[in-house]
Amino acid sequence: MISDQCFEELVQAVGPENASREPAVLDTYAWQPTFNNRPHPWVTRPEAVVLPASTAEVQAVVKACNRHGLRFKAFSTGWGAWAGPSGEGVVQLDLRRMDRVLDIDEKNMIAVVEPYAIGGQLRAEAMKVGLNTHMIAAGAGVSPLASACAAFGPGWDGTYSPRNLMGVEWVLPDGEVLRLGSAGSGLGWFCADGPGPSLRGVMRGKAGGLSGNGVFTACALKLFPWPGPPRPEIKGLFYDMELELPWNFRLYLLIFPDRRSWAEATYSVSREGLDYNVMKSPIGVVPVIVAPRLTRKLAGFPNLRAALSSIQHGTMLIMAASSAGEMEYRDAVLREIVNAHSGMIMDFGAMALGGTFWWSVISGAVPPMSFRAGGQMQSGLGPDDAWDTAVAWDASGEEIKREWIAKGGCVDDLADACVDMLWEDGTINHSEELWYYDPRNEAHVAALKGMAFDFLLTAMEQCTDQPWNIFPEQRKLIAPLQGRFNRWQRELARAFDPCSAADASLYLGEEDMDFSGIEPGKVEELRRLMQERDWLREEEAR
Amino acid sequence: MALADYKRDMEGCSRCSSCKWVPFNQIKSWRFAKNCPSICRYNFHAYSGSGRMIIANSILEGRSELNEAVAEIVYRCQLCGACDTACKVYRDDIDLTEVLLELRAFCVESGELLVEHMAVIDALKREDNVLGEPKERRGEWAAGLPLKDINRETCEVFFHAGCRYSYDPDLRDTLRGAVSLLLDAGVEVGIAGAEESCCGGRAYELGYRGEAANYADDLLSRVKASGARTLVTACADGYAHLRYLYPRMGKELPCEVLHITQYLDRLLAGGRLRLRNSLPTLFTYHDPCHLGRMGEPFLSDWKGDKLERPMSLKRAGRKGVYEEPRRLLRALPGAGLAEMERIREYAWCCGAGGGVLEAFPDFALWTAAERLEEALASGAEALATACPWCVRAFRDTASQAGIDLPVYDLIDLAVTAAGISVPAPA
Ligand SMILES: Cc1cc2nc3c(=O)[nH]c(=O)nc-3n(C[C@H](O)[C@H](O)[C@H](O)COP(=O)(O)OP(=O)(O)OC[C@H]3O[C@@H](n4cnc5c(N)ncnc54)[C@H](O)[C@@H]3O)c2cc1C
Ligand code: SF4
Ligand code: SF4
Repeated sequence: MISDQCFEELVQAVGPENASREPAVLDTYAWQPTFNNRPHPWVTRPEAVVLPASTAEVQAVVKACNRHGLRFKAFSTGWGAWAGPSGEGVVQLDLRRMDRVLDIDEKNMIAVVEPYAIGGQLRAEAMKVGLNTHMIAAGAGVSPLASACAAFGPGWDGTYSPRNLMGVEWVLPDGEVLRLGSAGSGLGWFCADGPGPSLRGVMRGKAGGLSGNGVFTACALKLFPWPGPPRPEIKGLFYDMELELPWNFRLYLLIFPDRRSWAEATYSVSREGLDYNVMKSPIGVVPVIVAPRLTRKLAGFPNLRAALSSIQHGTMLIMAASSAGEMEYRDAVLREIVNAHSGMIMDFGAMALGGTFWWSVISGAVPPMSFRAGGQMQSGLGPDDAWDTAVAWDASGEEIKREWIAKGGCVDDLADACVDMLWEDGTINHSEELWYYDPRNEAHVAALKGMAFDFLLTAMEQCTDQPWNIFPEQRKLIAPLQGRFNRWQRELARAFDPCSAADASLYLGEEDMDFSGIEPGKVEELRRLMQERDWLREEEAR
Repeated sequence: MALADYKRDMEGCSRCSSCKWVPFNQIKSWRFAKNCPSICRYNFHAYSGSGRMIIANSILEGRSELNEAVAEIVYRCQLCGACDTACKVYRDDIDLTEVLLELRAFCVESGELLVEHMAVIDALKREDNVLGEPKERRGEWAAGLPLKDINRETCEVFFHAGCRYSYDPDLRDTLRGAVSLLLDAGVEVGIAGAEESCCGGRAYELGYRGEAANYADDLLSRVKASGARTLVTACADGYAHLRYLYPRMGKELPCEVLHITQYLDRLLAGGRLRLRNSLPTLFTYHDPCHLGRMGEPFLSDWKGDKLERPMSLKRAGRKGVYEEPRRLLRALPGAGLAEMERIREYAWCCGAGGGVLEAFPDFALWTAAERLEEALASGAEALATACPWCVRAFRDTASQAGIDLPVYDLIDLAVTAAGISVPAPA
């Protein structure tokens, strides 16, 4: 339990209005039902919660934790179980008072932001000057800083958060401040790799440190051109939304006869740089978002299922151009690609709700709607890799889901809620298979573990990257297959966090996986694959 | 319904924090993107709509206790409904406002009361109004106006004045103006005068259900006796309570309930209200929460799985009164309308509601000042609104905070533009 002395130091650091250890207040930080596979939604209650307003206050809190043998866990918006404490003895830093967009450098296309400036805010400010921000597929309500510095990064707009980082202000686990890149030399926020210290890889890695390696208090992000209106005039909230697609945008649904032709064509669209946004259009997602009740009913009719499945291999494409001639050119290239793969183009933007979809995607308003289906969702998070790997993951995801839908383990989304993203013209690509569930439905909750295991096993079989290796059980299991990255992280932590003050469970933690309830045959298969695929084993034995 | 009846709603919260923001498709700037006064002022998640639901769930699960500090958190909230509307853009299975209302009733049942609120309830019991003013003076505002006495006569329109308008000396002329507009259009208007009581809505919001039910019964019996087919009120607070809380309590009024702006809009459309005098001013319009999203009628008491509830029965603010006041404003000769960023279903609150003005006046003032800043940013020369509590909150805040922005009640603007003479009180 936190001592009075320590709590007093926290109060000193942030002011009495901004520190609390009232149990009911703390419980509002322990309620973390999203991406939480435990049978209940509460994580461990923090010892105290603080609301720092500046980098200096964050430092003071971190130093107090170091002095008193407590651990700290910071979050920006705090959506997801990874944002809460992993165990006892943790002080939660809720960074919502650090909410500014510090600068938008129009000429150099860079924004400098604090943790609680959300994507929607940054988008609105950037658009005023003809720019836009990378919006991750979690939507407008989450923090671009958290995404770029501390966690994940995928979005539909052709890029990936950590690639856009131009500078970082980082409170290390011992409370010292480090500025990366040009900001570290006092030269401004224009390059994360120098002149000045370049520790981007150490700081971020692939999945991010999830607050296990310190607290990020500001960062600079690359912005992208926005050819649309500076402040689109939108009436309504969703169904009642009224707007016309701007003349220089298109929203197309591209449909192909089979997975192979869809994959080839979508890859070409990305390679040719035709997209402002490009994503697979899974048949389960749009109906579930727009009409979840109706979808539940339709799913019961085999004929309707078959009809929907016939348009399963589709891509949603937003194109933008800065002149009519450019749009004509893009259209022509697109037609050629689609024709070459026996596909068809539906001009979704010209249809009712077309403008609504366009703006809902661009503004990042769609993602939280996925929760309409059951109240919760999970992800069979797949590889960030070559496009073919992503496509293979899609197919397996569908199979896994079909089985679990039949068993009543999740919402029936026609077994296709697959989110595919192509970044940097298809150089690197992402796939995940979402599933929707009702946290109040016992069968759905009971299925979580088994479904997650099936995705893990599939990743092993397909020898793909498994991003859920942030969780201690998966880290321990998978690290041998991923170059024993865990050892390097431990070494870094020894140097950066001598007092183990960061709640680093998701950065360093390792636990044995609990296989109870999983079919023994599947467990055996996993173990066999682990043995077979541990490519450093022999080298180590030597 | 009791707090525990909403456990599934609480368990559905994904902690996405969408309830802290205007709907994402409507974010127009960094500055005016947030929607909840309470979380903006106090910052801990506990002060958001989601936070209060989690607290309720935590208490129901025996994880934490309701105590004085927690009750204060519950009550530092205007019950403005912005969180509910935002959540419902993305969710079908959570009725946030219902949970907030039940949580307050739970506080009262558990004896966790705020002294300031007890004072309101005492005043109500003593004088039948929330301001503690003498009951016998309630009808004085109408002195000399040719109105029917619904205690003795039947009438076409039953006009409910409301507590704030009846007693606030600054607003009485507004009220006289409202009925004068109706009389000028040839409408037969009746009032209860000194016999009028509070509608009971504030008691309901503070968690005092028994008192609220008694006042609803009182008004219900008066409306029945009056034979009126239409009840008109100028009080947005009262409007929401009659449209929503009364049916929720099973005490629906046997007549059409309209806000004065809706009635004037009809008169305007029918040519019975003529706005002739020029008001060459650029106005911005503040949607009162209780006329807008909270004024949406009661739709259903859905008992089953809310994931199965038809959209038409989901109360998401869409059916609030937004257009009529704007049509009135636009009809003012020479006047213009510059919209603020947060409007309609996602308007920022004036700060006075939910018992905040009475218990936490500094918070009420802070909230109103935020709205005035937004009004100034719209470029408007004046702010117009349609609720006496909002008018009071904005005028007081503007004068205390030195904000130079005239605040008008739409009724006064309509009276001026119509050029009718409102007789001075006899
Ligand atoms: C429904 C849903 C969908 C999602 N989809 C995507 C997606 O499409 N793409 C994607 O990239 N991610 C996705 N995520 C993951 C997550 O939302 C993102 O990583 C996002 O960037 C987090 O922003 P946030 O403000 O919510 O972060 P938080 O929830 O606040 O934090 C995320 C993690 O980062 C840490 N962290 C946050 N801020 C800081 C900081 N300032 N310093 C140190 N550590 C910090 C936290 O401790 C936590 O471990 C999704 C999450 C949810 C709940
Ligand atoms: S109340 Fe609704 S909007 Fe708020 S966090 Fe919960 S689910 Fe999200
Ligand atoms: S009702 Fe208003 S003040 Fe209360 S939590 Fe919801 S948005 Fe905030």
